[in-house]
Amino acid sequence: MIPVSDRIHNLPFKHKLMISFMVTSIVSLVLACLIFIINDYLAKRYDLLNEATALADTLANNSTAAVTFDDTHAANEILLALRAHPNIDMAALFRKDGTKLARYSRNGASGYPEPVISPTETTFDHNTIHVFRPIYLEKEQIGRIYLRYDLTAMGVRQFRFIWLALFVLIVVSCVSYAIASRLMQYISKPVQNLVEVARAVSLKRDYGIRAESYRSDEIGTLSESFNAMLAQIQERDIQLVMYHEQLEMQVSKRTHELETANAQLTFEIAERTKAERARNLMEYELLNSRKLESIGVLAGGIAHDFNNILTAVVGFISLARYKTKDNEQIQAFLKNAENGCFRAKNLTQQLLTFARGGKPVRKITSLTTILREAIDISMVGSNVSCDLALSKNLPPANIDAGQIIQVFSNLLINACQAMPNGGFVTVSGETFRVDDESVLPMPPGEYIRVVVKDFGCGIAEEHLHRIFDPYFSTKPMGNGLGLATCYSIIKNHGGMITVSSEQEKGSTFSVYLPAADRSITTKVPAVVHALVGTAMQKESGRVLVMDDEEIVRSVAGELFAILGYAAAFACDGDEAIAMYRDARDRGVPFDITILDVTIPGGMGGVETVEKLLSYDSKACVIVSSGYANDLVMSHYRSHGFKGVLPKPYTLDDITALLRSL
Amino acid sequence: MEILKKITGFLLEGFLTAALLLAPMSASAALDSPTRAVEHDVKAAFIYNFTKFITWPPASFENNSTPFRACIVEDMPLIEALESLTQKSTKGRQFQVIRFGSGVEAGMCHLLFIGESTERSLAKKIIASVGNSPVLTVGDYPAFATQGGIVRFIPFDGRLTFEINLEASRRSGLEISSKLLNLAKIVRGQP
Repeated sequence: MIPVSDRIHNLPFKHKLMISFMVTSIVSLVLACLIFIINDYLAKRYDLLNEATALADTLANNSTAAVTFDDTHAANEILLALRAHPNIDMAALFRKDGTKLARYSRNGASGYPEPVISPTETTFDHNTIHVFRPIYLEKEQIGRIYLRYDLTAMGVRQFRFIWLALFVLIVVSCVSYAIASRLMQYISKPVQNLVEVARAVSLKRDYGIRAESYRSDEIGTLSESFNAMLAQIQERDIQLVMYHEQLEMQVSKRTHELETANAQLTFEIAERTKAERARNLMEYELLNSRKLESIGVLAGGIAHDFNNILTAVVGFISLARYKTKDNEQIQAFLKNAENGCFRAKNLTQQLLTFARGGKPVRKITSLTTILREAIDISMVGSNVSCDLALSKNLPPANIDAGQIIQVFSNLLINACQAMPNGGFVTVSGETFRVDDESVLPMPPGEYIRVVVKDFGCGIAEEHLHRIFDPYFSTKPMGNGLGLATCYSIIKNHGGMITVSSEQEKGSTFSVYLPAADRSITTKVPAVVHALVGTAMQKESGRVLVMDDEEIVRSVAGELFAILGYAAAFACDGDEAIAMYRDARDRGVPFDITILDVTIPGGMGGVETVEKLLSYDSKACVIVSSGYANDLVMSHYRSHGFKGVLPKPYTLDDITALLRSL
Repeated sequence: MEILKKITGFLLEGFLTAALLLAPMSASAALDSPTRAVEHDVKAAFIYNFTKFITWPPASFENNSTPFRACIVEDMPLIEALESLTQKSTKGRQFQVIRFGSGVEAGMCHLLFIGESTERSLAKKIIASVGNSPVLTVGDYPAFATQGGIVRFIPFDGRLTFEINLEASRRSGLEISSKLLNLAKIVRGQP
């Protein structure tokens, strides 16, 4: 069951309007009728009351004498006059003491009995009026009159009124309905129109529709407002579309920016990762080089001392050989001893190279030659074949040819040893560019990368990070200096060496060397240490030997003595200079002066030669050192030396030197 | 028997009612002879009440404070009954009771009562002395009206009624209210 209010709410506007109109008219009409009827009733009653009161007063006045003289007969007569009044159905006259004097009733009407104490006021019953009036004689109340007024007739009249009101109600309702339905169109039609337009707008979403405009009443204003609203919506739609497009544009722009930012971020992350790797590598390199450096200092010291001792041993062996030329057996023994000493010498040389880094004597050299030579040296008598693949136009490099040959020889020998059952090694060479983004911890520029790859047993992973350590070797016969030296040499060349290996598959060593400008390639003389023949020629002269080691001085003295030189000895530079001056002053100057490079705690060879030359510019000064790869040794002429005598030296070495002067 | 009882009841009721009505003025009179006393009291009340329904010409009073003079001829019980009413007033004037005798002129009375006990000749003489002066003559004997009296008491059916001689009243110049006339029996007396 739908509540009435809901039903009314759901009615069409037109009906609602009609209902409100009709309800209003009917209610007002009913109210009007009701008021009219009530008013009529009240007025009538008031009139009747007045009439009854007036009548009572008249009768009271007429009955004064009758009451005064207590004349019942006369009183009854007076009351009988009421027969002319059909509405009065009962009347009575009372004496002063309340007793009844006379009584009148119409048609034997009973009702108001004879009250001993009569009421004094006028009262209304259902349809009767009871009127009590006093009777006065000369302002003195002498009795009371009572009239009962029957209102039945009035009720009939009221009924008639009600019927009339009902009739009027029906007639007026019909008429107002007719009028209202006429007039309602002026209100409901524009509203209906507006509703239809609104529905059309909401259904079709066409904001171009406009409501019909009516007069300038409220609905007209509403229509205009509605139209204005539609226009606004239309305009807003256009703006919305515009904003949408702008938004799309902005979104795509932002997306693009985001993508760019993302790419940038990815790039930066990659950069950072690369930098991280580079840093790790660098840290490793640094750590490694520090480690190698400290080891190198130790090794260098030992090697230096050992070399001096070796100088004495080698010197005295060569003396012994010289003295026992005829005894072949002894010659053979000494030869073996000398060979052993040369091996020891090689070892000290390697150690010294590793320790001091053996500052390379660089020349611009083609790697092709170097690699060929290294292959020739290492592959002799091996069951491993080598595949050399060098890219065309491989630039030259500014290198110490001997050291680099040593590096590749070492690598190739290792490769061969990794493949005891034979196989092949590939050596490839190509240009390699290190730019800012490169992971390799090297300054940007052009490099030559030489990759030596074998297919042997490989290197265990736990060994991989130690293989460049000195005295680390997995080989039973290895001294553990090979790769350490390689590392040191390449490092001193401004390059680097890396390794990657997989067990049972092989190892790959990559050597990076800075490429040199190809236009200044020079022909490199082959580094061949051919010993000059041992044929000796006695010479005569004076020689000054400066060395801090007693044993070196003594062996040098003996060796020069055999060659016919009278030797004098100095422990350091000061002494040497003093002796040189002294000898020259005495007229017996030294023909040859041999200076050791390093004199611990004293003036070394380089300083001494400067002073000697300043004193005697024609002085023939020879440099001698255990550091065969020392820069002074390789650039001896620039220091003013006339020759080089690497320690240890044999009689043959000295002979060769003397010849070259 | 039934009728007799009813009549007695009615009579008794009438007198009792009057007695009650006039109780204050009949106290002493009622002691020696109840019935007579009641009758006198009723008559006194009637006399007093007559004054209220009758209008005297203004000239009959010397001034505003002139009392209303009710003169009673010889009937002492009635005088006594009326004495009690002298405290009252009628038409704004004091109600005075005067015993009619020597030295009293009929013309100075406003009301003159001549009872049954008065000698007829004297009564006639007194009425004649009144002449046409505005004096309400009241009597209770049968020939009173015919002798020229205006109001006569008539006991009827246990009640006290009265008759009025209209011509006599007209001669005297008194205006008798129609209400009073309605109660009275009208007689055409001797002109």
